[in-house]
Amino acid sequence: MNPALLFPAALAALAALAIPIVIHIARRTETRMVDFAALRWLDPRPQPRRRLRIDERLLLALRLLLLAAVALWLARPVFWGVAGEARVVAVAPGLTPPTIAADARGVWLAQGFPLLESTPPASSASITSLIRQLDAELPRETELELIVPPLLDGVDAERPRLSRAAIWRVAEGARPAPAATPTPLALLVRHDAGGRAALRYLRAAAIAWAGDARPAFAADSTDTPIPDDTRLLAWLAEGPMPERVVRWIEAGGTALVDPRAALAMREDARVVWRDDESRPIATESPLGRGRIVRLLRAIEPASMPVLLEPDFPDQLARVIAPPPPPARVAASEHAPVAGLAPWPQPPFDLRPWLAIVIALLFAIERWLATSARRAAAP
Amino acid sequence: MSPLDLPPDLRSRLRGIAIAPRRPAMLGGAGVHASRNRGGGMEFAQYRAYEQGDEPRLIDWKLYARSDKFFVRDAERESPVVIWMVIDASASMAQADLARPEWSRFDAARQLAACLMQIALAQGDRFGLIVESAADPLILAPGSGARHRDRIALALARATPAGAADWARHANSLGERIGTADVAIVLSDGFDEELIAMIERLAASGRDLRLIRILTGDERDFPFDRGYRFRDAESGASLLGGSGQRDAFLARFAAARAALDTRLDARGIAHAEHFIDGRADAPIARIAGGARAR
Repeated sequence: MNPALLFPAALAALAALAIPIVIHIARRTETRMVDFAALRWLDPRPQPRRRLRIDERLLLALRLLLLAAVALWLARPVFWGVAGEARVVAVAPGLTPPTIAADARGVWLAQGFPLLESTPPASSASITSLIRQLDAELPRETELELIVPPLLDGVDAERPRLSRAAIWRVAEGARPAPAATPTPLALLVRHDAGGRAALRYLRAAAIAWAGDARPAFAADSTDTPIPDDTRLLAWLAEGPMPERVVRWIEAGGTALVDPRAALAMREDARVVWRDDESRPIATESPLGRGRIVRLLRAIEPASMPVLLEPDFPDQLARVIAPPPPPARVAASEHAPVAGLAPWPQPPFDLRPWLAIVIALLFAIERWLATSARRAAAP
Repeated sequence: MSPLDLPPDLRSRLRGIAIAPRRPAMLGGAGVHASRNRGGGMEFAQYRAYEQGDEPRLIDWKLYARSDKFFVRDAERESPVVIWMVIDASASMAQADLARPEWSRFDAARQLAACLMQIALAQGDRFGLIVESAADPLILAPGSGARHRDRIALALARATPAGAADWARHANSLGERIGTADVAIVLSDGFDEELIAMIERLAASGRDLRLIRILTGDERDFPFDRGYRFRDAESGASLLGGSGQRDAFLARFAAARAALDTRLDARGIAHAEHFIDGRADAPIARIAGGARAR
């Protein structure tokens, strides 16, 4: 534990110590006039008294102490390297909390790391991120024990790297049910007369996506409004896009746009689909919360041979509805590794405690200064 | 508390004190001075019209029956002794103690005067008042009775100490007022050399002068612990001082008091010291010159 000052320049406030000293000395020169008829028997040259006379030394000492404490408070005193608790047990929410040893602190792996005694919070943060934060917030000597469910969701591709060798325990618990079979992609097409020829390829792709189920495919003219639950829209029309369609995209939709549509080329558009010869087929650019996948070639086999390929539906699906990256792992395979440089711990701030001392000193000073026993007040 | 209202315990202690003239031979043939309202001195002087405040028993009822008017037999009693109270009203008499700033030396003097009047009333003597201040002295001619006491008390209540008394200037007029048979009791702090000289002069001319020196408790104890600026109200001189001067002052002041005592004793002047926080009857008993026979 090393005491230190984060802002030593504030110690210049110690100059204020002179104020109470001056107050307590200056009182001496203030003399009271008193009638005294027997003046002639007084020694006209009184022997010099002590050069410095301080009145009410206790009160002065208290005031000096108070000012010194305030100056110290301004200088932001801290303790570096305060020893933390010996052991922290972090339990992922949803697990039954185990019994914790007396010298250990049990917390939930959730935002704010609430104590295990509290009700388990609903966590939405990534468990890997929480583990990293907990590791960074703990002093180097503290042992960290992590209790996690058998399956972890939302993890990174890499095992988390911590600054300490954490104890990784996988709780025995029910594995979460596998995700339900995904519903096939639903594709809504809006086309004008020129786009009618492309409908057959898109319909074929939708049928291929559905497999044995009923394909979710609907095509209509550009005037028809777009239903609210639509996720994917193919816009096969010439000319500028109507305002309502743009708004729908900005609200979070994904639009596959024909090259005939008049659409400003955006700087951040990136190529997401290339043919075998590495020539671009489609670019993707964000728009509001949604995105636009723009085909660069007309939807006809002559300019887009991929239409005739057997894996065209898969390629199209990968472009317009890319699968989420894998984020689930067996916890036993995801134990964190040590080796990260320790995170510097923030020093222990003494100011709140000092503030209490200051308030206490001030109360005592006021009590002494205003008590009825005092005759005259400096 | 007004200095003219005597507390009951002081009143009862005063009953044991009598002020006796120094020279009983000077008394007229009226017998023992200590006798009250008896013997000579009670002789008919005149009839006078009744005034409000006169005691009803003094009314001459026979004359009332004849004239249908109230007349009072003014029985002027020729008391042989006048007790003069000479009060110093110079500014130094306004000094009070630190501990009791509302009770000044002058208040103590007024209380002593009230005590003296109480005694004079009790022994039937006449009494007069002389208040010596910077202006002309206030002189109330001798008289007797409760009304005269009240008159003097009224004058005393109005008097305020101020300025420096000029004793030398009025010494002659005082000498004329104070007869050789009278008792003059001076109530002062005694710091004024002119006052002492005047007392000595009058005493040398055969007057019976007595001095009660009224000192404050601060002059006895010197309780000044911090820095003070001492000021003489009469001369205007001032001096810085404090606790460091205590021992020297007490020694010099005691020496000065002892020297004055010796000087007064040598002249045969009865004297006493009265501290304003002390009992008023003690100095009176010391200068009274006799205790009343019960």
